Amino acid sequence: MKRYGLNNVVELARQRPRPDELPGGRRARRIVAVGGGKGGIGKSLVSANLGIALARAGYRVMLVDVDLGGANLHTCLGISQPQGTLSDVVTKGTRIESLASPTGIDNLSLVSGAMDALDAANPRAQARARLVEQLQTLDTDYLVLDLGAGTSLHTIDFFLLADHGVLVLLPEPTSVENAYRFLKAALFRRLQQTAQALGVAHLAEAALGSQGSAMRTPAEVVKAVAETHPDAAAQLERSLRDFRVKLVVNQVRSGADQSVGRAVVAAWKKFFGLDMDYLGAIAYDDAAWQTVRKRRPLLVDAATSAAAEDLVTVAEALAALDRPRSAGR
Amino acid sequence: MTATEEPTLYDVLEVDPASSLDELRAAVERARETYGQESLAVYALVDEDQLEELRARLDEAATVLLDPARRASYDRSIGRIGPATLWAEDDEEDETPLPPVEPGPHARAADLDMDEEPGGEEEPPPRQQALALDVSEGPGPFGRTAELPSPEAPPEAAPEPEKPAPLLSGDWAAAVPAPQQTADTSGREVAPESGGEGMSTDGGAPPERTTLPPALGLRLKPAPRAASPPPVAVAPEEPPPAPASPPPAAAPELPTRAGESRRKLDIASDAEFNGELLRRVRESHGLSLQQVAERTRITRIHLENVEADRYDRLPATVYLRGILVNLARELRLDPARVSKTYLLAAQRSPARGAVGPGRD
Repeated sequence: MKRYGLNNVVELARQRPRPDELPGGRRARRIVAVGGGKGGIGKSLVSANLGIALARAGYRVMLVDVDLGGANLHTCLGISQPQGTLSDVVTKGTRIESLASPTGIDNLSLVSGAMDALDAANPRAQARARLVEQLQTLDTDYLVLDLGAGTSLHTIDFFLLADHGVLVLLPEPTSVENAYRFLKAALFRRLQQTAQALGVAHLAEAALGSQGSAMRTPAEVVKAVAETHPDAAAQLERSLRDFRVKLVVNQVRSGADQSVGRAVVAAWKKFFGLDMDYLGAIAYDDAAWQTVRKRRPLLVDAATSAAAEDLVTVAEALAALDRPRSAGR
Repeated sequence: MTATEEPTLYDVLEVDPASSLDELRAAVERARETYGQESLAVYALVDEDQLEELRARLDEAATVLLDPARRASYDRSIGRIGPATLWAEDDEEDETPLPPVEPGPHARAADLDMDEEPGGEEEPPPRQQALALDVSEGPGPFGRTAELPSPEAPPEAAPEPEKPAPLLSGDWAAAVPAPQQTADTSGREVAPESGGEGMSTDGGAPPERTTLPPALGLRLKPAPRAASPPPVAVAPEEPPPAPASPPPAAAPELPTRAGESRRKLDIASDAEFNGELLRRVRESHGLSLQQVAERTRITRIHLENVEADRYDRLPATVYLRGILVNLARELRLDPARVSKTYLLAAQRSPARGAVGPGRD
């Protein structure tokens, strides 16, 4: 297990008060981060079309491409790369709002993450903190972050920052492997951050490190902390329960693929004791890659395709999570 | 369930203990899809050891819970009287347990079979046999099994003690030094009345049930007859502190006979099980090592090593746990308790410093 340094900028930011509900049964400002560890699994496709579906449902949506080294969300949307990018936030202190470009779809805007300056793909902690702070305060209903591949620190932090961490995976071993690696990295960073914020980092470290290569489950770490710090353990447990990933299985072909999503949810629960929400599967669909080739969003160019319908279902499942219970279906 | 409690087999399968047989079958199937060799969902999720341990538990759950009779006795062992208990008597004939699902291509159990019996590779043990022996512990639905299957366990033939360590392959082989077994056939050759106990295929209750008091929980009911006093104090009337601390290595090789069993053996509910205690319990049931080996399909060598606390000769914890659970069940002990306490003692032992099976 890769160990990360303790940097709780995000953790502190995350503990902001929850935004109030908007009139009309909506809640303001939900951050959705779409990740998955591996490249080429459709993160950008999911992000873009999720954004479109939510925008069409009437939410104000801002897509932010935080794949800082390989931003191409604009391509998925069929627009040219916006002039200003997130690097301006870091280097010039530009406000993110002023970077938002229209996408041709009502209610949907895009902020490009392209960072061409050398080393810009790995901004320093301070720059990250500035980005994060601004993202938190954007005035929009849904902020959809399209994460890059890999498990780099800033990718993980964006994922943890989100209200909804959406994990995309394909039903193939390489993707599953990377998805789990990503998930575990995120979970343990969350654990370390929270433990540090609670002043029990040393205990969590000890619990994590005492078993050689095998990974401790969150429950075991909580238990270890509880021996001396029951209050902190309770908070730690709550924070870990909050780590409730939303799963999307992309490029599903066979019937067996269909069951992968549920199985992943079950296995994650079995071994890590944490819940995961399954948002749905997206059919493998020629229409999807054809639209990518044409640089047109799937939901615009092939709205009746199987994959497009699945994406709408996924978006509905996501939005349903945010609907106050009283207004739920 | 909390992290501290030992989950029951129902927990392992994630089903309600009151589930019907059909529901249990569905749960087994679901678990196979999720955790089996072929499942993508567990790929690279956790260490292979953890996965194997889970599969062993799931196999165990399938074996026990899909067999109404075993389920009933398991329910009793966890202090639960449920529907399973009610069906147990009537339905035993028609409620045949599902045949174990064919193991995945990489299943170790399948490899084992091949080593031994080139004819019937991935054949799960035939259904009747499983029923008759009441030990359908063959390759389970998850393609592996906690102990060594002996697919052709002769229905009645006398035990063949000299059979060369069968079925060993992979890490098992390393765990069990071959010379061991000849050495041990001497002192404890028991093979008594059970030799011809004709494991008939009619699905009748396994013989030991008749000789045992019904409704055994953790505690063994005393039988009237007191036996010749064994060297170790057995069953003092005052509740003793759990018979603890294993007598190291040279476990007493008393020639105990199956016949002289039926002695009172009180086991404190917080007993810590070591080889010595397990041996005493076994003897109190009048069971020979060979009989236990046949019923549980744990090889005799493992059983001997378990009873002698030869930790360094025992297989990796994952497998050892399966062995202990099955042994405990055969001895009407609480499987969770037995495996937990025994493994704890084993881990404390310097002989078992390394996680894996060490040769010596």
